[in-house]
Amino acid sequence: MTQVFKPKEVTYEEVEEGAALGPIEEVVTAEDVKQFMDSIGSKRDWYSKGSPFGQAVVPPMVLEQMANGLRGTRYVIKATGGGLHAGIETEYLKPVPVGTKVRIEGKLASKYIRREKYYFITEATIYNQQGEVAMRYRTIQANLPDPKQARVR
Amino acid sequence: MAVTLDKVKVGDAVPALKHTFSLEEMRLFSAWHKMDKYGHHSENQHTSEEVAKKLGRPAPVVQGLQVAFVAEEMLADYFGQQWYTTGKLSVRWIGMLLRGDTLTTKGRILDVKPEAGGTRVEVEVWGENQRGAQVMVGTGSARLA
Repeated sequence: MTQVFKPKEVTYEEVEEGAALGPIEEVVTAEDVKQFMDSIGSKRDWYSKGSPFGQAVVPPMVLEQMANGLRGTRYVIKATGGGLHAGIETEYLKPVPVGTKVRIEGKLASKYIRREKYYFITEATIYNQQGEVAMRYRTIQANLPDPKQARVR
Repeated sequence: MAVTLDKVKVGDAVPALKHTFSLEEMRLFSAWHKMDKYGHHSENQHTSEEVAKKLGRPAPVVQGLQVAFVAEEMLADYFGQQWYTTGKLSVRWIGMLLRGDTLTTKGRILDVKPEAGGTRVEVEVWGENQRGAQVMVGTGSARLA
């Protein structure tokens, strides 16, 4: 069944701490993996041919990118300066074989304002096809009320 | 070849990894069609000159996770199999990379300490642009037997 999400466009104040996000369910295919490998020029055989874990495994970053979509299952933040990542914390527990389904669920753990930017912390758990925890992921996303707040070094 | 515990010494450098991001690669990472149904648009600040300018960026911005991907691959090279079952990464971004910029991820052994099942090796991790300015800082670790 295709998942359909209808996120609401909300202000910072309207975002509810503790709100459940997702779940996201996807089969990660060999084509998906290749797309990500090509995005940084990775030639790692473990992602495409086979690995010490028995078969090709999904680069963890593919799952992090998916988990990054959790907030969008519920909220679109009103901020004319757009959004940027501020940080992530990840823990890898079980490699996910290519071609298998993952399920990602989480919550909007907390929010705060610092230096006039909106920050949102999302916590996610990524489960493999057997329902085991494959990865834990926490991300801090910043939204900029003003485009001038973006910083280039 | 992954590192073994007997070769790890606090202060040692982890072999660096370098990557220059083309707009095409940024589109591969940040316009993944499977994200469309989660509120992401394939035309965004990471993939489109027009959207980036509208948001006040001088050019398309490399998505932070794509930057972290290079750091993860550096640590996967270093820790090998253990990275995928015991690895931890914590990074924050302190600057942006733009289309065409070159990232070099680097690491240095911070700590080696016993934990249940082995020894955790902690690495200070950072990313620099081609001007030597740091854009990402943090730590990564894995448990070695």
